[in-house]
Amino acid sequence: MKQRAFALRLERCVGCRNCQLACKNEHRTASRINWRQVREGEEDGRRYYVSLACNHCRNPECFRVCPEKAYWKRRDGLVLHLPRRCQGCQACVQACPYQAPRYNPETRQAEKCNFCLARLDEGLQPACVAACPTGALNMMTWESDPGEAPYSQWVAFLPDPALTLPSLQINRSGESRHYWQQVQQEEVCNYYKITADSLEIIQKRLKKKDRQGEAGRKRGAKDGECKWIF
Amino acid sequence: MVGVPVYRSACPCNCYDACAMLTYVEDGRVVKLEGDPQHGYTRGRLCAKGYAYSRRVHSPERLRYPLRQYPRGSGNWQRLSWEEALELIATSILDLKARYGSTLPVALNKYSGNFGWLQNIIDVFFDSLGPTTRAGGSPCWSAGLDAFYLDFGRVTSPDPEDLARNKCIILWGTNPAWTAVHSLPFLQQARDQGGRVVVIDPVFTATAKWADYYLQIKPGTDGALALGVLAYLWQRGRLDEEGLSRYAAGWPALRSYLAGLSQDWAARETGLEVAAITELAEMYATSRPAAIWIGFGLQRHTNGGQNVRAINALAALTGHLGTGGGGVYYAHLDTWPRVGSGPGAPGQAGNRYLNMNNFAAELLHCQDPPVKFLWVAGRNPLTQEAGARLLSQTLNTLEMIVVVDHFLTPTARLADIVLPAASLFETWDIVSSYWHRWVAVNEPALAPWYESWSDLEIVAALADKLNELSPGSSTFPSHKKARDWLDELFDRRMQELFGISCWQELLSGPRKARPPELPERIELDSARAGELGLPNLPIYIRPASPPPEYPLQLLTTHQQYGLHSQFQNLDWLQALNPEPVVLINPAAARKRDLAEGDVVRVFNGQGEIIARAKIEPGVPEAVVVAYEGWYGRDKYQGTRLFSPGDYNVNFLTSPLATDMGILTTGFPGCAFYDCFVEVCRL
Repeated sequence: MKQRAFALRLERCVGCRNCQLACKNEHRTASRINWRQVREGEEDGRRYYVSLACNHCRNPECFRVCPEKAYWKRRDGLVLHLPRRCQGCQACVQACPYQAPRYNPETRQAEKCNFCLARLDEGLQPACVAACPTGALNMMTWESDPGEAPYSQWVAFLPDPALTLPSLQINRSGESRHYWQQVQQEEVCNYYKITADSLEIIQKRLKKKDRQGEAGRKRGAKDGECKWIF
Repeated sequence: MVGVPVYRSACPCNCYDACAMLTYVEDGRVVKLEGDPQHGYTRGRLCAKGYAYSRRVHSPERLRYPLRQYPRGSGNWQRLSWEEALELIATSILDLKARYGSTLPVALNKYSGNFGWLQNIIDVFFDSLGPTTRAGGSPCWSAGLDAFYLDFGRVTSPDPEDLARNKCIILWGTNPAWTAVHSLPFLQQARDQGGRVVVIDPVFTATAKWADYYLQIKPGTDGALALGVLAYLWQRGRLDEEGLSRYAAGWPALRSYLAGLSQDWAARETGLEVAAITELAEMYATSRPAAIWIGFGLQRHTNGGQNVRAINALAALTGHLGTGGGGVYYAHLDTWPRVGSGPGAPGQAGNRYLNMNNFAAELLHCQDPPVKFLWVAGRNPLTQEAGARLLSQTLNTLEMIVVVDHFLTPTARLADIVLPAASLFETWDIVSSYWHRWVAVNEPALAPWYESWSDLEIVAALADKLNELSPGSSTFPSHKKARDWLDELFDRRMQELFGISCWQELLSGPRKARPPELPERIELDSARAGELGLPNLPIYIRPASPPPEYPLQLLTTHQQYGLHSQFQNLDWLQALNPEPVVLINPAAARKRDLAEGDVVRVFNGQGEIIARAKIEPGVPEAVVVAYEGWYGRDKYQGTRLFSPGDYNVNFLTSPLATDMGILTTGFPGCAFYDCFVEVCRL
């Protein structure tokens, strides 16, 4: 078994979007179609940028659902899309937990990352990997089945890797220390020309409003999810 | 891509990184760009904006023909031939010259849209007319430049590739993850070798999220932090006092000032806890080498230059200058040609210079003769200058406005005549950086876009036209082509600096200048500063404080998907950045009953803007952030919320002067960040 994979070192990622735009520069995708996309989310109070493209899953859902057999998996593990077979039914677009296949209304077909096949043949790295300034995004090859090991540091705001066994290893390490502005109540009061007492009342009222907001959010179940930045 | 012609290009925008690029051309179109791997600083990579360049050069919105708008501001555009356009412009210049008996009513406002060497030839052309009026100064970096000049007698900066050698790097008021992405490999290399990266910034930027330490300070209190650290170290006997006298002139005077400072004071001023100051002091003093990168952001305050001087003092007195990659990094002009009215150049003796940071007021005040004709090149002052509304009204009083640009920017929309500029892919040029020490050549990769001409071709043709209508009115050598000018600009100094005999050698790859000579001595007690009415010593001057009705400080920082007002109008980048946002702290938002995504009005006595609120805990409670350089093209967002006049952060700013800038740029800089606003729901 051989499987090409992407590897992320989250502590190195600055969210510069070089990978995302380098992908567009290489493949000239339509303005709103991104084969690779940097997403931003929070876990345990820490924010992470996660650069995602097609994960060339070991258990690809696109491959399973496509009625036209427009997907195939190569011996090196790459999952490739065959435009000549694609009828644009968007089953893959719906099924992929990572939203890797994108529907292009102009071609009326799905399209997605091909791991820069042409560049690999020239002995080059995929355009996104080559563009990464910090070494946060890398490529690797799994020579044998790594099992669940690549997911040991998976981020919670991404879909459960057990679904499709994505060929994406995530690592994160290191701690940073943050010193924030001390809350300066006095100053806040000065700004609004109000006394500390009335500030407390306002804050209580606001807290109430917050709780109402929370209840609303729970019903909609929108806010707790990750913030997808497109 | 085998078999596709590849050309050498160089990005001439106002950016630290000044990338050397490889441009792949197919059927007369740019199909792909790559970083030039031979460039030792950019190392084969571009940035998010650079990877979108192909969308700029072939943008359907790019100007194709000379245009005339009549009447001005009507939106009634009419295509002109070059002949007609030049005739109109030349007639206007000659008419003014006849009426006023002088060429001073003719003004040039040019800056950083294109920093290629040949842009300087526009100045040479204006010099050829006789004394003219020029926009002088810089909206960018003036206060910091002066601070360096006062402290070290010259402006210089270490080679940024040496950042990798440091054990501690303080990124002070700079956000390289968005504005200098090619420095990150060097910073990451330092981290991989055990170095630590500290970010000091009022805003929890992308760089701050990535760094090892983040210190959130109140805007404009950088000097208090630097001096607080210094006082902590000195009071504990951690400074090498004997060594100090060798490399710090005026130390005894500063020492008595430091005696009166405490960590508690610094903590109060900066809003940090005392532990943060102690930790920073210990880390910086014990790491060797250690570097401070002073960003342009922190000097955009009324006390900006003074704060830079305090940081310089910290670096010098802790013995970090000239230590194997350590010291202070800011900017340099070592690799720039000296020509036209650029820094260090003689220019035309009788020229009248107006402060470009206060251009509206200076235009109104300048009489005898007044300015009647304005030529704008490589600039979009209507989005980039503080007090944009007043500027717009003032420019409207002129008789003739000519704008040379790629797109119909807000400034171009105010013009009488708009001339389509050739892009970097259609011209020759050489590009240097004010940060790294490489130069790269830019060769034409495409035939000119429709009827666009390079700035050089435009002024040469205008010189011919002027001389045709009135012989002898311009002494400009219009027969000289781009390559002739480059021969001249790449003079002995450049040949020695880069170790090559002619600029054509750059066609085989970018070249690096020899290492800079770095200062090892600092002037703490500067009499020159005193002469300018500034404190002699790098003491702390408090920043501007908010008026009660506008309690929020507006920081109009650089955006991720644009460079000033360039790039943000490209479809690939607008898809990521479809509408302007205002970042506001959750507590501040709660007080104003604002929720994420609300459309809000940001206002003060100067004006107002409309934008979408983004609740951002990384912004302090007394601060809001709105990115500069938006010019209101928003067709990618479906429904139209904003019209072009709705969002321009410089409707809110006012042309407040920074404390320094006169020595190096002729005028003080602009304190863009001392701007106070209130926010409410629309």
